[in-house]
Amino acid sequence: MVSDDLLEILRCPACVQHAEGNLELKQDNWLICTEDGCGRKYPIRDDIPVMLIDEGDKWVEVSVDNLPIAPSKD
Amino acid sequence: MNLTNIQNQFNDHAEKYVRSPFFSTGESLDKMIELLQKPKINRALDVATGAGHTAMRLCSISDYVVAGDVTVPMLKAARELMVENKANNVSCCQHDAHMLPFPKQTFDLVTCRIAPHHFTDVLGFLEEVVRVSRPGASVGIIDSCTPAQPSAARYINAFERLRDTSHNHSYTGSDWKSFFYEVGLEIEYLEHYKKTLSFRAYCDRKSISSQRRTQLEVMLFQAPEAALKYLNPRNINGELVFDLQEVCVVGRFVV
Repeated sequence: MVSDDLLEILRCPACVQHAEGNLELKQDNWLICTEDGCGRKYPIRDDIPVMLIDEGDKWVEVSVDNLPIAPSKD
Repeated sequence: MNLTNIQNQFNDHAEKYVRSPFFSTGESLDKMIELLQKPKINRALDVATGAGHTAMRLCSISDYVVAGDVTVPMLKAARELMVENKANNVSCCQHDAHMLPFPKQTFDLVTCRIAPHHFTDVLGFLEEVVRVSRPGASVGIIDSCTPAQPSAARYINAFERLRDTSHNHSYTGSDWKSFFYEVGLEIEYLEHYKKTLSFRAYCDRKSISSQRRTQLEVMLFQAPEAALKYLNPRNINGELVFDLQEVCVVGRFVV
């Protein structure tokens, strides 16, 4: 479980450089960037948010509904 | 930053960093923590936390701490260390030191210890540190450093890179002074600390081959004069030891 303290301050590392980069928590294990045109999705694995841009990029084309429940490494 | 190379170098060795006295303790760490203490610190960030030794110390001076690293096994080792020490005001997060996943003006304190020599863009990293720092925030950096003479500095960086391919560049104290100045951090303290290392332990942390150990040993003893003076390889009670230095820089983000 990721703490509320951390969720409050986490942002999309790509979008926060030029915009708000707010994230929305989905299924308790995904953080979805809410910026228009971004689409990056960051998994939470073993309660550790994976806030790497390359990781967020991997899931851009996957719709929120199709994200795996427990994110795998690949 | 070559994230994959760094992850490969550290993924298999996390436990060694938890136990290593080189990482878990240190005069420079004690001094940095002493200098960073303030009556009230709401949020602190430890970038490239490794096995979490610095983050754990921050837990005692800050209400809340984020321990960040690019390598998951290190973060898990850090989390175990926190649990063992009953530190419950800390969260772990995987991120790149050059692209911090936090909004501007989030932290009252940012630290990074024995890691910037892996970074490919130290100035870019410090710009990110400044972006996420509140006005008046403190920044504390400890990293391996090199002597001022360029040829000796090149030699020592080559020596370090031969052991660890994710080693990018150790800078001089003077370089750090320039970096802080360039990003708008006012230096309050800058000091060098000598560390004496066991050659065996230095090699064991990376599980390097015997051939590579021999190469490193040759580099130690056949170093050019200035580098030899800096490294000072010698035998103590039958054990080969040598010296490296760290620089500790503490500054404040002044708008």
